[in-house]
Amino acid sequence: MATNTFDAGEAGTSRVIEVPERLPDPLHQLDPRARQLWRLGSAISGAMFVGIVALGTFGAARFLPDFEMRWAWLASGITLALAILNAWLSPNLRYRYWRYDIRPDEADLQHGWFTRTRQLVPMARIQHVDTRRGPLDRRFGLASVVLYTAAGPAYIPALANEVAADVRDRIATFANIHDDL
Amino acid sequence: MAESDPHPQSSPVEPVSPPAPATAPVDAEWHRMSPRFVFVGTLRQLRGLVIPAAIILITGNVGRGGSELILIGIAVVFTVLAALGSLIEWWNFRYALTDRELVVRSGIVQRQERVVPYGRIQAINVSEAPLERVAGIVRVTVETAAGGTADIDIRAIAQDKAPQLREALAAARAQARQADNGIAEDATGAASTVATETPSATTGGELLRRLSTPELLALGATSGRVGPMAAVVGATLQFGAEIMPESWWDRIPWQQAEALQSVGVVASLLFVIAALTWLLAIGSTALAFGGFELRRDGDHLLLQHGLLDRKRRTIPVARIQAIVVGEQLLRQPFRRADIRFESAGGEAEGAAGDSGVLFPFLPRAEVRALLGQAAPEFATDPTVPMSTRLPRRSLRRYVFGATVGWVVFVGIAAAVLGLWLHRWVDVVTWQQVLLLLMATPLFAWLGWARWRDGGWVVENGTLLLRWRSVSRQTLITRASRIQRREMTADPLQRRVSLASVQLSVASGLVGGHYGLAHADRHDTERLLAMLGGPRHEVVIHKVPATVEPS
Repeated sequence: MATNTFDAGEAGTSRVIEVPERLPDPLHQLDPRARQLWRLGSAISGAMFVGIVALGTFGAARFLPDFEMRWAWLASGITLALAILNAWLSPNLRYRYWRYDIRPDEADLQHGWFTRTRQLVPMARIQHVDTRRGPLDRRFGLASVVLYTAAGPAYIPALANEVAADVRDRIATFANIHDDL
Repeated sequence: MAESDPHPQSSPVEPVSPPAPATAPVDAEWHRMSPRFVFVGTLRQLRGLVIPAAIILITGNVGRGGSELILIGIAVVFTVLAALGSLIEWWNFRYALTDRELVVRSGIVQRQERVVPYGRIQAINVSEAPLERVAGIVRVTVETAAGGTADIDIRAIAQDKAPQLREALAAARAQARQADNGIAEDATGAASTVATETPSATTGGELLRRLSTPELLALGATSGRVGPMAAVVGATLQFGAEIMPESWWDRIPWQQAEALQSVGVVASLLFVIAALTWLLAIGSTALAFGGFELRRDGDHLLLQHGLLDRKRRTIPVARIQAIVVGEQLLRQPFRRADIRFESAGGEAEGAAGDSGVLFPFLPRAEVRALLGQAAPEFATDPTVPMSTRLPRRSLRRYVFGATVGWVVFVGIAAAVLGLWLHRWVDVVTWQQVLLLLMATPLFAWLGWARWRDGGWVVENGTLLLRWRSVSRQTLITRASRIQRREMTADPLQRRVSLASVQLSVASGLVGGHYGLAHADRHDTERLLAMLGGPRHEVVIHKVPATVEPS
């Protein structure tokens, strides 16, 4: 897998090139710790889901005469297996396909391992920018960036704190142009 | 909650130096809200407890030994908690005015840092509620064009400092706007909450077009209201049968009623229902759209319509983001169309923006001329051929999608009615199901029509995107009005190099989203690139070394 490239490059110094025929993929990856963060998140939500399924099925087995105990074991077991599989695989896949670029003209986001989504948000349309750090994010020293346009927000999750701050500041700089929508 | 905070603050004095990570703007001074926020915030939080407390006091058995003490204890605990919460909130909320933007930090569990470039500020509002007035503080909110509510909410600023803050923000905004395109008139600074004169939508302005009576009748006769009205008529008949007095039932000559089974009677009954439905549709359309007038008064469009309840609406022309020209299935053969608009609410109006009908019924050939007068930015012939169409290989998906949807719907409906509801509804016969399934080719045609109509064309920065749900729709917008461009492709689409495109314009709280499924992937990429204009090359920016190899 391609690693991050560390060429120097000041914001705002890029050249304007022709309107391209193709959209080359964005180059920047999220922070590798994103995988651990998402794994922990999936594990927590998975555990809750398994708990609910187990409670429901074992409850049914206890109180409904027709419902045998082995069905409860089976349902809970399958759910548990799926939850483990999900927590194990999906963070890697998500991380692998997440790419973003912050160019002076627009933010370019690409993500999704199943349905792949490409989002282009012109800097001139961005109204304000957030960085967010939830309790889990802070455990891993990560933050997400939210770009707000008049047609809804776009998200870049799981960047290292410093990177998120840098991304946010660059966006704010590029976006600081009055524009009547 | 607060105790688990792993990032202790560094300095207790105000203004505060930026704590730990390099997330702070370089040479900015951090400010906290007025400390009086703690007092007001505590009272506000306690206010929510007044009613439960009163209920407990009234219904509970107060007065029995020692219960007052418990109640007082609970009250004290709540007060302390509320005060503590407000204190932490106050402590965690900081704002700074840097040279280019307003930065606000907030949040206890979820830490948030919001950056608003001065040039993006739409409105600065200062307000005070009674409680705040007593405490001598005001609330300052800052709005951008994103969303409808306050984007920055500084809830407690000392009364004497508020004008200063507002002036500073207004001046910064004026400067940012001037530095940019020199839109000086718009940026006279002091104009923070400008209330430009909104013309009252009565009869002012130049009349652009009025809906004539024949047009109104034609609108009703071809309207989609036929569907809902059919439901109303059906329900009325059903209900009528239910509430009919017993004696009436007895009077019905049942021998003759056997004839109801005969095809002729059923057909004529259906005909009566249809005619009734149709008349109702025309009537309700006339009520809603009767006397439809589109006027223009300088920078505003004035809409009014309705026979009984006269609806009036004012739309700033400059805030219109997109136009959608619709051609209903029944109107398409007659070349009649309707025009709708997407508008981002006005800065002065403070409206969240919305969408609606600009004109409900007119000859397709007149659309361009009317738009030329009403919204010149979007004046285009909506019938121009699309330069990019859907590829042959996506036809299969459109036809399949439309027909499978229908078959599944019929199947589920038959199953539900036949298996579960047979106690209340007469048993569904397989003939009926077959009859419904005979409509499947109709849906196959619809799928084909969707495929045939889909496409787009971009010329001189104007985009036309065409698609069909049932009626044919053509979106007209400017590349500069598009807030976000998006393409998605699932694995099946990727396999054959197809993609779906979605374009978003500002409208209401969530925006207006328009798209087309199963277009050629390269065409889609070209469209997305083209709408972005000349592209800046990618600058790889420094990223801290990764901790572990991937």
